[in-house]
Amino acid sequence: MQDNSFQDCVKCTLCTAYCPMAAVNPFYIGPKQAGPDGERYRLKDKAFYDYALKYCLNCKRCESACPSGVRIGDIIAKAKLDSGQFHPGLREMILANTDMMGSLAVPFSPIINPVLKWDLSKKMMDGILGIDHRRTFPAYAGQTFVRWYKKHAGKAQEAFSKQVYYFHGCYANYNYPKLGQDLIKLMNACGYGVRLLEKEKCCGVALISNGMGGQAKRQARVNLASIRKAGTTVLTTSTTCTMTLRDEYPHVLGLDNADVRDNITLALRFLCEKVESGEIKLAFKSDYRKKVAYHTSCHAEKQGSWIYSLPLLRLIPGVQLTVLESSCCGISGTFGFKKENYEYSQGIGEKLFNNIRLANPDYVATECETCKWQIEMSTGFEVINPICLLADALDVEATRKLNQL
Amino acid sequence: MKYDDIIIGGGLSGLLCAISLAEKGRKCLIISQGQSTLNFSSGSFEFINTEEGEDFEHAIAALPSRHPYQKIGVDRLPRLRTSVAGLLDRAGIRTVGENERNHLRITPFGALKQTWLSLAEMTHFQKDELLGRVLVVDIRGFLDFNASFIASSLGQMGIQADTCEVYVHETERLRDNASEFRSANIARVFNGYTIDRLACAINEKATDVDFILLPAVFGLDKEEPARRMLEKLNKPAAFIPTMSPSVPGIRLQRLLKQRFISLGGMFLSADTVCGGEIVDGRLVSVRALNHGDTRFEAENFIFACGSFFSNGLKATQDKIYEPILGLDVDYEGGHGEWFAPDVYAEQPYMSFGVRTDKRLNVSLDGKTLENAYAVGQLLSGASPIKSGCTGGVSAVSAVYAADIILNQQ
Ligand SMILES: Cc1cc2nc3c(=O)[nH]c(=O)nc-3n(C[C@H](O)[C@H](O)[C@H](O)COP(=O)(O)OP(=O)(O)OC[C@H]3O[C@@H](n4cnc5c(N)ncnc54)[C@H](O)[C@@H]3O)c2cc1C
Ligand code: SF4
Ligand code: SF4
Repeated sequence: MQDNSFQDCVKCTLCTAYCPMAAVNPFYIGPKQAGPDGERYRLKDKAFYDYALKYCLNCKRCESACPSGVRIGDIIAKAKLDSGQFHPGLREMILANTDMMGSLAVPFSPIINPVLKWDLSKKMMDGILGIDHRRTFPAYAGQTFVRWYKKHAGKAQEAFSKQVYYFHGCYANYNYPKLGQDLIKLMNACGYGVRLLEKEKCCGVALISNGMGGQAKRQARVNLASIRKAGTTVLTTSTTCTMTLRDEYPHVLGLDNADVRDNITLALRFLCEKVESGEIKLAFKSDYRKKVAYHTSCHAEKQGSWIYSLPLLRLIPGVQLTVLESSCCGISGTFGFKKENYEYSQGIGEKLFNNIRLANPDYVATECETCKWQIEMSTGFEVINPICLLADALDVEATRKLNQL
Repeated sequence: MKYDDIIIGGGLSGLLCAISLAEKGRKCLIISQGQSTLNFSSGSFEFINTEEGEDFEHAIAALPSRHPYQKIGVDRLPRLRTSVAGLLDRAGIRTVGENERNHLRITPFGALKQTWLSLAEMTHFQKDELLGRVLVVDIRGFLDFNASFIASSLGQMGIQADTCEVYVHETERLRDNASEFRSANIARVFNGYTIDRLACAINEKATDVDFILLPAVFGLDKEEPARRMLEKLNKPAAFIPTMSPSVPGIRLQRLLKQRFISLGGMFLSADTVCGGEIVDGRLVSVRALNHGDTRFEAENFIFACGSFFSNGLKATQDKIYEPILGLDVDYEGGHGEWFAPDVYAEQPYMSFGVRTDKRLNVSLDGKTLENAYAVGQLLSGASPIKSGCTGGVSAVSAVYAADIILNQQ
């Protein structure tokens, strides 16, 4: 599938002026050249500029800036997959196969988590794999979300007259089941049962960025089949999974999802719209007091999903909210874990980190899990998904009553 | 999703309108599909070209009745101009310029141009204020600013102008990626001590000159680096715009957006408004591409979508149309008559735009939409090149529409 939007480029270079990577890395040719300019050359030779494409964070801030609607990020992501020059090594396999690594690690999490923190193992990963030793690995959970769901929550969901599905993603499943649990707590209190898809695979975002297009497509097909089978709303809690399922599948992998795209939606959007229309009511604990700084992740910026998060957070009476200027944290999924990218990654995030320090909040709220790792590691401030914040502040009994349960 | 006012387009006009409304406590949403033409701004806003010594009102009186200034009403313009200057000031944007008449600025080609408001750091002077002996500073390897060209243009006007080339190691490093040695990239390295070292290098070469002219590559996020540069120079100095992207323009865009957000405004970037719902002569909601079936509802809607460049207007071989709702558009003739053969001449298509009444209300199939307004470059009837009214039309129409909305409350 050829993306012809590159022909709309008017060569204004605004994309490059707003690209966070071009701002810190003088060797990156920037979105205009890597994207629409390069695409012309690539019509002749697929490998054109491919040495530079690895720097692209897929943050899509170039697309947000482009006055002509050129899908620059998509063009670059596709060129990366098509060039055939990216041969994923062991490191890429490990970083990109979040599903496989998660399934292997969770049963051994009591051993693996401390080991990942050892200086010695960090040095070994750095030396052997090229994973930067200054990185902190996200901890693995003791039990996957799916296992917990089957044991403790699945049965109870059948009692609800209204039902939605949940695409939990790798992070909720392997690293932080509380996110999924909190979603269920919220939805149940509002009268919705939450089901899991028949089969769920990692959305594939890391496979795409690490040049493993074939595997990404196979996983995407499994997900789309399950989403079609569900035939109704499928909620998500990660902005990146959401963007991948809704936009990268058609634009980068060439898989048509038009029939189900609108069924896939961030839980925050679903909740916000239902609250606005009066279908759902939320009540919060009167003694919940937190100073919160909201960080607009790149993919929340691209999808505009923050417009649903902010009104919900503002509903909590005890939350004092600051909205941080939208800027990239620099991690970009697996990108920042690679040794050669560490300095760029931290350089890009610096502005955001400073703004967070200035705001000095109890929590930074954001819907992106990799932003969480990056911000926690770089600033020491605790990062929380707005879903968890809403669930923590929720007065469950009062909410159930308001929703006539 | 419900708001008081929804503004479509986040350029100069959309932002000024939204800020005016938000300052009065209204809950506003801007939806904008990409960066606006502010990012190419010279750092000066034009209002109207005048004869030497003439004030704005004379020149405006001569405009045809279809011109936005005439629709708004000549009497209202002085007050609206004052409002615009105040809005910019409260956004932390320092400008210079009189309310009633033009000053001059120097263009990237070394020509003198009339203008209304300029950022304080840009060149601004009156005709009789000669610059004396001038030094035009070039940065080594930077191709988007041509000091010799500027110097020779100034020379032709009888101003004695020399050039010099300077560099610091930070700019030399940028040259490794020659094609991206652009204004915004340079501005990122011009901070703190880098500026001081650059100023030293310039001061050494500026011993027997009266005035220094520099490319506007200082202060992408805030004015401070530009101000610091001027302070560190031993002689009076000012900036001339470079080829785009424009560093002062990017800063303008950012500061206005920040001001809007600090007032509680919501700025939804990267999205395209693609349709709306009309009930009983009122626009009740619009839709945006990324948000599927979500309806964005508001009491008022302001179309600030710009002209052809920003896709506020579109053209096919046989018609010109407004792509969101198909609003009524003023244009004349067939495809062949839309362009003048001389590319530097006033182009007929530049005065095409969305049709409005005197209250800037738009219409659809001849029926007025009473709660929908058009502002900025989207408006029909301006003649930007001939009369030099681009920034002025965008700014005053935006504030005027906000006034109308606020007066209804
Ligand atoms: C290269 C260039 C240089 C210029 N330099 C100067 C100068 O130095 N001084 C001066 O006074 N004037 C200058 N102008 C004129 C300038 O256009 C006006 O001054 C003014 O900034 C225009 O503002 P605007 O808000 O009306 O439109 P624009 O700046 O065009 O903004 C329109 C916005 O609406 C958005 N939009 C359009 N359609 C949709 C949609 N369907 N959904 C969502 N968003 C949409 C666009 O993406 C854009 O962000 C220049 C223009 C250009 C093109
Ligand atoms: S911002 Fe868009 S139009 Fe401008 S150079 Fe980049 S891709 Fe081209
Ligand atoms: S996606 Fe982000 S990193 Fe990649 S070119 Fe665009 S702005 Fe730059």
